[in-house]
Amino acid sequence: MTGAPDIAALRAKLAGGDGPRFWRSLDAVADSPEFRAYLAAEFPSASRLAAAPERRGFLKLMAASFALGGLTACGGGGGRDHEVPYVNQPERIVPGTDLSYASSAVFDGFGNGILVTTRNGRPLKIEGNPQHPWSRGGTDVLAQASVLGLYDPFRSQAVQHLGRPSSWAAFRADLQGQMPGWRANRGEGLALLTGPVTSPGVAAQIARLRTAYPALRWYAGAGASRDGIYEGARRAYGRVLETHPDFSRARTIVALDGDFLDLGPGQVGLSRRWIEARRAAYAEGRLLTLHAAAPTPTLTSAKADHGIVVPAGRLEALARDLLSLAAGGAAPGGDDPVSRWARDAGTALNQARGAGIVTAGLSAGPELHELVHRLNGALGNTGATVIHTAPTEEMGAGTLADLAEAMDHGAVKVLVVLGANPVYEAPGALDFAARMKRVPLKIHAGLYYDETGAHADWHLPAAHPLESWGDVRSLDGTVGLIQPTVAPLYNGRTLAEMLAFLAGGEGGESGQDALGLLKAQWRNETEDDTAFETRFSQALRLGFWADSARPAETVALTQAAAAVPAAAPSSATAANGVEVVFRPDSTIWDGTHADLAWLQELPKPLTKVVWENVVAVSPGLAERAGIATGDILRVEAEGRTVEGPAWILPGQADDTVTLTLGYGRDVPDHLARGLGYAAAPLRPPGSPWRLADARLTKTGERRMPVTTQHLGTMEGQDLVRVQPVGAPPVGDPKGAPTPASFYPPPESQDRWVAAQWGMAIDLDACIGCNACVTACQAENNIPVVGREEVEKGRWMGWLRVDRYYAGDLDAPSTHFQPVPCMHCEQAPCELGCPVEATLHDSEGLNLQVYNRCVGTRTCQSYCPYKVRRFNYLDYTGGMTPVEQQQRNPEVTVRSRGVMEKCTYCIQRITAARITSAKDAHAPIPDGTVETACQGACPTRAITFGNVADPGSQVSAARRDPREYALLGHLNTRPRTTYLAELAPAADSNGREG
Amino acid sequence: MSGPLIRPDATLQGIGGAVAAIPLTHPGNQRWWIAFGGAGALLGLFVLTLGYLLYAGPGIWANNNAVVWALDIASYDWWIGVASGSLLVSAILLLLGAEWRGAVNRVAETLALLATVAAGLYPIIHLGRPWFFFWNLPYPNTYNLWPQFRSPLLWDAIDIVSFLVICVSLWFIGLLPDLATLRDRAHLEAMRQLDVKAPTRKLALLRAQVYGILASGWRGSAAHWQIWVQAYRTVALLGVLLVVSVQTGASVMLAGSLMPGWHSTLLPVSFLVNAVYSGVGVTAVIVMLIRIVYGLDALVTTRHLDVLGRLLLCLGCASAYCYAAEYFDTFLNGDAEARGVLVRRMTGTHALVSWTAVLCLVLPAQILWSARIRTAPLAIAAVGLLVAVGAYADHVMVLVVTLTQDFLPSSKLPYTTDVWGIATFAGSVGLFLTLLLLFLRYLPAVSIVESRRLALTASPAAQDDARAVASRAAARPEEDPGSAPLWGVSATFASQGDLAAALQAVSGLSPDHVHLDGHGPVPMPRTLRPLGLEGRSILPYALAGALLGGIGFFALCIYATAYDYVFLIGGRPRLSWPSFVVPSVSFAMMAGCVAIHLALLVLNRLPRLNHPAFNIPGFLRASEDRFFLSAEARSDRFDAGRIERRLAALPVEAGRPLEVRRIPR
Repeated sequence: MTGAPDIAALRAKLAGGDGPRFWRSLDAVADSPEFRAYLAAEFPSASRLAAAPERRGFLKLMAASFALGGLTACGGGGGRDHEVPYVNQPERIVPGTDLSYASSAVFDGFGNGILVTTRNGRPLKIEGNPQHPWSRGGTDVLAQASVLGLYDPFRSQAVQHLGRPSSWAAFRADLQGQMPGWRANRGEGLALLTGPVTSPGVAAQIARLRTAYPALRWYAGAGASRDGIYEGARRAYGRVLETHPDFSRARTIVALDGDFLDLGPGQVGLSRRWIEARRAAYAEGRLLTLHAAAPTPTLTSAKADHGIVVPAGRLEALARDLLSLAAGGAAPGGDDPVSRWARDAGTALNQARGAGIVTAGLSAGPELHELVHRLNGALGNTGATVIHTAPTEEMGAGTLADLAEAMDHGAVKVLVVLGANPVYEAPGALDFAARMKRVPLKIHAGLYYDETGAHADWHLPAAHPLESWGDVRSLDGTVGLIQPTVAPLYNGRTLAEMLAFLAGGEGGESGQDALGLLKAQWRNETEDDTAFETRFSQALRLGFWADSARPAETVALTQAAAAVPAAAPSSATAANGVEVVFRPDSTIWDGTHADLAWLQELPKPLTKVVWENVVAVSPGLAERAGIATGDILRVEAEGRTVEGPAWILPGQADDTVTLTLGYGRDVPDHLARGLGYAAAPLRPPGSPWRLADARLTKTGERRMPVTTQHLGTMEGQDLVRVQPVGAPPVGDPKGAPTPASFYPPPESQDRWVAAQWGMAIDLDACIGCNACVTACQAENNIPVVGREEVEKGRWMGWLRVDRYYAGDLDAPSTHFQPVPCMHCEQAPCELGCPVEATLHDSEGLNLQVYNRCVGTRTCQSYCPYKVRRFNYLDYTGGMTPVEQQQRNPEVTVRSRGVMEKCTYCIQRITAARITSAKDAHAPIPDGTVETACQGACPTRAITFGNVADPGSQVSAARRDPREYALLGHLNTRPRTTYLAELAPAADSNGREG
Repeated sequence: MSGPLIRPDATLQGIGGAVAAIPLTHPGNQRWWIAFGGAGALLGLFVLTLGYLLYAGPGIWANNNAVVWALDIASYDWWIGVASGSLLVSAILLLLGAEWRGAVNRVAETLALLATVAAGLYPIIHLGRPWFFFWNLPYPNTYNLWPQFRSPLLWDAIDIVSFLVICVSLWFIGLLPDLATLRDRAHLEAMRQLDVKAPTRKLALLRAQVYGILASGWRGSAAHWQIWVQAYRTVALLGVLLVVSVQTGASVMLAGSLMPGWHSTLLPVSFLVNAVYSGVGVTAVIVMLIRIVYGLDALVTTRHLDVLGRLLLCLGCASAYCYAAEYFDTFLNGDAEARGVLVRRMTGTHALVSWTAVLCLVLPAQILWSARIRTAPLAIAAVGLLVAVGAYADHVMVLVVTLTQDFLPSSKLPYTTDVWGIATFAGSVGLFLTLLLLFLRYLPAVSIVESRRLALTASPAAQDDARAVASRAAARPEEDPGSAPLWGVSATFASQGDLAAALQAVSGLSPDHVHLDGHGPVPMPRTLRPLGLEGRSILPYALAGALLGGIGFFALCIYATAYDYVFLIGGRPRLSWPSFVVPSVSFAMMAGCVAIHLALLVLNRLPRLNHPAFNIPGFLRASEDRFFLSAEARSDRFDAGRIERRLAALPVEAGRPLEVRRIPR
């Protein structure tokens, strides 16, 4: 403000009656040009209001002020004021309006494109990024739960030195004192341990670090590392390659312990590509058959049209059989199921030469991967349906075993662990914690003060991906950008920042921040500022660098190594010897996210067990050894033991026991502490996914695992229908007469309103991945109730995925069926409620009015689908304030004593209606309203929309002859209907028809 | 039939003394205190449980996502079943005029009332938000909301309120004359203690006052008795109809759903049968207990046991028929899901409960075919207890087996009962027992009036003896004590026959100036003709009340559902009138009952605690064994002497009073 106001003029103005009645300052009264300029500079939006100081504008301004007031707390960290929204214009945050940012979810170092929905500066919900070339709008459970991870009260919140709170400044000072020494001896004795690195930015910083300290050794380790995949490719092609199936051109798929539908970095992209190919095949009247052989059931083997159970030790022999078939050899004889399967699969592959896919998964050994590559080569699939690219992960790091050996020799003086947890993850034989004691200086950075943090001298809090700048590659190589959606809650730093500090001795506090590092990474040297900013901002809006996927490479098989004498199938010789296979957990993966309650309470897709891991044994083994579910089993090998409760798992290989990773965490006060067992101690360092021989004994103790589904069969009902390709439709006949009733037929509900909401769920596309369940939880503020409450049968999920078995107990066919509220047109629940807390609206929604509900629970007792959930206790009251930040303000947080259930995301319908009201009540366009479950689904199994509009997608889905209503004979007329699963025409494998 | 219903030597005064001695002097104090201690401990547990329940929520029970109703609703159904059964026992005995009912119906009415109190708590405390229980009821509110009249839960709410009203009404009407007896005895006792300056005289006076207030000024007037008899019988009739309506409501709460095992038209019938059965069973247990504890062998005779035994046997057979019909129908006609539920009931995890239900309800009653066992009090009590247990198990079976697994196997959830669920039920038993023991201590456990009527019909000779004794002791009418303004003239008689004859004799004397009335300890139908009260009926009031209430409630349902508060509920049309029948019937019964109760009070000009008739010397014996004639002056031309002369002129065996007095105003 310039100059003194002219007092006399002011008086005159006020006395004259044309001054504003309420004046904020003398300048405002004066309404001088200077004041206007100042206002425009400081408060761009306020200047517009200042010109029209009417009541409405004033209220808007006040509302904005109050809402934004909280943001001042988020102002820390230089350079973070450049977040670019994806959809809305970035000028300002409109209070109460969603703002979406394109970013990337990080899965064990790999990326998936996401959109982060924020409101008033708080990230609330993860949606898929439909434009992302890899994930195409799908998400997985970890991405959905990552928003809870941001607000996780268990996150590391401060720098710690020797277990005591410290500061970044102290850490910097300490290291800056030592750095000259490191430089002097070229970094001799320095060791860096990271997780899998795909980020070009992090890779560049590591390279810089290695330049600064040439003798520094870099190691990478992960609980579920992809080393076997890369090693298999190296053996087959002589170099490390990434392998990508191209389902779109495939006519048959053979998965040998394959996992392309299972949780993992590839799930979102691969399952989407698979279902699109399968849908295209169905449109042509054929089936994209999936043959799967696996030692333990997975989502991939559950979706197989021809599945077989094979011990892990026999997979290589099976691959050799297929290889000899492909080479024109004789089909394996024998009438056992495995030989029959091999003949079927081999024939199918031979008939589809150049259009078949043989694939193996993360937990297959290098030998099997090599055989699969050779098989694809022999069948002519390589280059056609199986594409190879340069590896997505950065190569050149040593393994955990190498690091352990170096530590053992005393060769490591300084160990820097960034974003890894080797003390928990490392195989027991490496005895990592003990060897770490030999290292004089240990620095650990991570999201959690975990087992490794407790063993380190310095622990540094890392920034969550939702509060970081960065980049990350998807499995196909596409570089996704990570942009922060909120200022760091706990002053964490990104890996790139910390690496930059280690390399340069400065940064962090000032100088190079994460955004600067990111920009420096992607800026071409020839580019000028403006051009780069335009390009960068464009990429930020998209969420990825366009066309950055790795190009396909031409490959050639190397000469096969001398055929290893086929190892005798290691059916254990000892009386109680078993084969052990290790798997990442199907909800918490390798345990990095074990503190996320959403994931802990998410029923594992196949066992429906929550809050722990189990020792999966086959029905046959259980029968022979007298094992019952809940018996505590001891698995013992090389003097190390693991104890966990038995779970009799149909479809498990007979003498194979499955242990899963991620549990048995031992961090004081953390959520995951004391849950399940840790499998890592038993993992052999050489072959991390399989232990050929172990002893299995019963301890005599019992503890029943907690499950959300107690019965696994359909008991002879057609709850899940299966449509053999080419057979007469199994769906409900259209236009069937309505059953007789005392009452006149219901009035047409669509007389007054345009939209009648309905949902169709394609059971053929549902892979049981649970992304919908977690998305529903995030969207609808569904509380976590804890193990004991789930044990009492009070799991609160509005959407559940039922898992049914059919056929043989040892090799069953598995079916998934997501069950949300059916929104019955003749809803039994509504009749029961005495207070009209549940009733129908004009658009066909079965509503639940929380503040009217008195909690008689009649609605649930009348519900044939049992989809309602009751707040038996105060489940929402005890949440920490930081967790409450995640709650969706559009959805009521339910109190104790209130019934709740799926609403078809009525808040999203309402938002669309408001938008349509702005457009003079134009009809809501088809596809505008997407339910949370629908949006999250990687295979687009869920369609939602207006069933009264014959042109809508949901109407098209309902016209499919596979469409049927669950328990339709009850005449509830559900609005949620299902499309039957597909099955091969000549159904010989015991799948129920 | 074995033995008489009442001892031949029982006198009206003796009966009054025997029954009234319990509330007035508490014989067997120690046993009562032990029982009360136990019941009080259970009540304490109830208070504790309810406190925890209200603080934490229904999650303290083991109910879960599938088994949303378990012991809470089973307990409710059981209590309301016991209440229905007890009420039905009492009402049917009354309506059939069973002369022996006096020993049973007071207990049955009390049980009905107390069981309704226990039952009525459950629909409130089982709610997630019990503090909003009243949202279930239609009442004017600022939200302009109506409850959902198609819901069986609303029917239940109306049912239970109606049931409570009828229970209280029936119980109180039956108790009213007995309260007068107690009042008079307590008054005598208080007077005696005043005279001897006993330290407990204040307490005695207080007791007399409390009984006096409760008795509402009952004077045993012939007009009172006439209305009383009608009111008692009419309320009983409404009660019978309400029992059917209530059990229909409670069973349609299940049968109205689609659930396998519930969705059956047989359910209301089997609910009704088992409810009455359990009610009779509990009544039998409690009657036996009272008989044993208080030594009322004289009033609760083996003949009573025999009748109760036959009733239990008959209901046991009906219950067996219901089970047989259910199995037959389900296995022959039912769908797969209903058959599955039936199989799970008998072989599933709750098979023990189911077998308990079936075996306890069907088998024990069969031993009552033997007449010898039928008259053994312990056997009757044991059968009654087993029936009560069986009925509870039946409710648990029906609720829990269906809910643990209905249509989708995936929704199956196991249910095992829990400490707090049991504590809640035990606590409600504690509430019931505490109230029952208080009732036994302070109110007549056996109906004095009914027993007296029974004594009169069973041994009229005893009355003659009483008259002979009385006339010997009778004094001459006193001379005019002074010139105090007269209220009227009274005459004392030893029997109703004498009173009726005297009334006949004086009824023609200046009817414009005299208001005649008779007073006695039992209903006096023979006095109605001379008093000109014949043809007075309470039925028009009852009918008008019931019709107005029923039609009004039905109209309210229609108005609310179809016009004022229209919502799409379960795809039903706006005018889904069949849903409104059950609550309207219940409401009609309640309205009729209220009308009767009002008529009883208004027509009898009650409550009126002070009345000149109480000035008649020795009038307290009007609630014992004396019959009084009162001739009230209605104008200055009232001629007391003429009435006295006419009375004195009557022959001894046909209406000559024992005593004639002038009563000052």
